Amino acid sequence: MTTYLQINNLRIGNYQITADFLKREVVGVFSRDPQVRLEVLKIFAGINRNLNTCLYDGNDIFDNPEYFRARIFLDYSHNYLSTLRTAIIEQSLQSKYNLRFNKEKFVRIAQELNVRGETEITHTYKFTPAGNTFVNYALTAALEKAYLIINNPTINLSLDVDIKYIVKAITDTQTYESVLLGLDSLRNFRDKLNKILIFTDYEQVFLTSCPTVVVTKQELPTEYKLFKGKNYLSLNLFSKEELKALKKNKIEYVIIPIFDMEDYL
Amino acid sequence: MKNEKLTNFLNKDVVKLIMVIFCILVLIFVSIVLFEDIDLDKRIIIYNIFGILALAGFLYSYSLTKKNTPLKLSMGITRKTIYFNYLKNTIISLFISLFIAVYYMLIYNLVLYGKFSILEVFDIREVVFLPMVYLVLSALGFFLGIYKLQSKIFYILSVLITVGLVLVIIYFSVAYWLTLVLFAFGVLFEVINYFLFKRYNL
Repeated sequence: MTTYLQINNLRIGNYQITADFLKREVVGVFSRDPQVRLEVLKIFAGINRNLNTCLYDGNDIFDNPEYFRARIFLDYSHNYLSTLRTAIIEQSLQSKYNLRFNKEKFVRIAQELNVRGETEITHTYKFTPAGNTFVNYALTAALEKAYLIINNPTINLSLDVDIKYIVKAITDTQTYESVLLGLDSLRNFRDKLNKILIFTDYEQVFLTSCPTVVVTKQELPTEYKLFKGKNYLSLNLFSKEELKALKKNKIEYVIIPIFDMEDYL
Repeated sequence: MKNEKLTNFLNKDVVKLIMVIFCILVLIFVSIVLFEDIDLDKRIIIYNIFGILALAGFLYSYSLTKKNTPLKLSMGITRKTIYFNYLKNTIISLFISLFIAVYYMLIYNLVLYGKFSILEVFDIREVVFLPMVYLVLSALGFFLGIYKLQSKIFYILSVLITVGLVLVIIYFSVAYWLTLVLFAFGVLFEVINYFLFKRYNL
């Protein structure tokens, strides 16, 4: 797989990030602080400056027209549409942002998700919180961009069937060349992410595909520490011997899937 | 089908703009006769045109940098494009408003005095001064939007600027040097805005 986004020593607050994002990969960004998540996504979207540390095809992504044409950045907690009338949406997107809009796809998705059932129609269209997420997803799909950068992709969704629909669609690497997601919930994306970019409580960042995490009641002497609080979480990159040594030293631990991390924070 | 074509045609921004300008020109023509009958200050329409334009420019540029820029960037419009579109709109607005002012003066002289002149009845200094006020206010709105000035403070500021503008026009004579200073300041402000706009974090 080829790299489409290269990050070299990007500094965000006390964090320093070096990572390569590959095509046909879905990467989730996880941080306990939603502001950090948003800030990272804005930089990866080329909206905020990165001091020449983020490259797309060898060029800085900040305000890069070529990169901007290929990607879309949406935060599903925001309200982007105030109507479901496709002719108006199409004209508005075309005139304001010079964007192509696939009406048929938008209508199909809106019907499948029963967006009208989540809409109060007065002089404007007022969506329920879940309806807003549905509409934002339908808009994302209808814009047909190669690179997706989405913050809060499953926000306000509570029904399993809805979450599964959105997650499956948004992580489909046959449709999108690459997907970066600011995760509002880890467990919703169980087994759907190739990698997770984790901003730890120890001012470190890991881009990992490690499937499990070690949970302990005390801090472990490892360089892969993730979070601290009522429990201490570390990436499970321990060898069998190291795990045996933990037992020998009477350090109790539990190994959990990385997608269950939030339950232990 | 015919109706749809007509609706699409009428909904185009250029068509709307042309229709609005045409309406303004007709209304100016009618008002010249009415204003003369009730003996109003002949400059009042010019002040209104530029006063409203200056405030609209102030609000538009503030809203652009404070609210609309994040959305435009999300949708794939670069900062450079946003800024140059803003500049283009500002220049177009200035030229349209100048055209309207010149038209007003020409028609005024033509209808009431039978002359084809813009210099004899109107003080040209004031006519040039007002677009410069527009330029500076537009740049100021842009600047305040970048620094995300609170809306309440912004609206209070808008009222103060309006009052200040009216007082300056009524009670002070406008000197050439003031117009030149405003022009230089406006241009410099727009250049500074460009660099600030390219750098500010959203």
